[in-house]
Amino acid sequence: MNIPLYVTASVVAVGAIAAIALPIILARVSKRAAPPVNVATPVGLALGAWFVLTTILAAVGAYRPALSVVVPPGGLALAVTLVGTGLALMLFPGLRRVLDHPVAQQGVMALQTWRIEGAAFLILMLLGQLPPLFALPAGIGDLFVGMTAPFMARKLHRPGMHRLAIAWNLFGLLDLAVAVGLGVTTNPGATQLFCTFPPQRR
Amino acid sequence: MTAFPTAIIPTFLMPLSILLHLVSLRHLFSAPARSGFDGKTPWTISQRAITEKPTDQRHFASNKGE
Repeated sequence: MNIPLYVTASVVAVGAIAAIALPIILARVSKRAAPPVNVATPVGLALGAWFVLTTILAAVGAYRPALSVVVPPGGLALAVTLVGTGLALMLFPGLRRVLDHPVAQQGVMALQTWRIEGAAFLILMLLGQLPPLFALPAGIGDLFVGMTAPFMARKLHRPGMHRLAIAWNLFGLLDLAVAVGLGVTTNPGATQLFCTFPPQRR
Repeated sequence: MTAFPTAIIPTFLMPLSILLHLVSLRHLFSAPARSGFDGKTPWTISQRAITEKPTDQRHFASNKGE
């Protein structure tokens, strides 16, 4: 897969920004919480370590599934990350308290701006490297969420925005579920359901 | 999606995004019950009283001219 340098740079840059931005938001809000709690440092270290590790694993091809493997390594990494972050939220009430702060909520929504990275899917589709069946729904949905995230964050606490914010979050989750589902079912391997053109590359 | 760098998206950015959506939804669903949210009043007003330090509350009160 011959991915242009600007796509590579944008994906890595967006990942690095996300790994840095969340701890910064948490650090700002931690000081205002009563009692103050330091969750920014451990979250920053964990996110930074996971970002570096997954970038190295991707670079050495560890996420390319063998045809005989039932669970793709990428899917396994996604599940492990979700379980790990879920456990962190369950075990650390301080983290829940800081994330629940209204100011943190605006930051959390604004962070979804990274989803404009969905444009990379559309660029790779136009270059003939991703199938439209995957790239169109995943790319357009991500672009919509990413472009509306700053607006949603700024207006979050305005009257009448509560239901819209819930609908926007549910749409964002649905878009991710569709992207993961199509990614799994169009990739060559045991979970492939759709034979696409161009094929998803291993 | 399994090659570098696109594999970073499902293994790092996607789970982070899912987590942030879930955190937002948890907050949005619990906010009305916690603060008496009526769908019209900005609920940051009551939220601040619950989550911020007394100094912040005094600052907020002075902003309102009380």
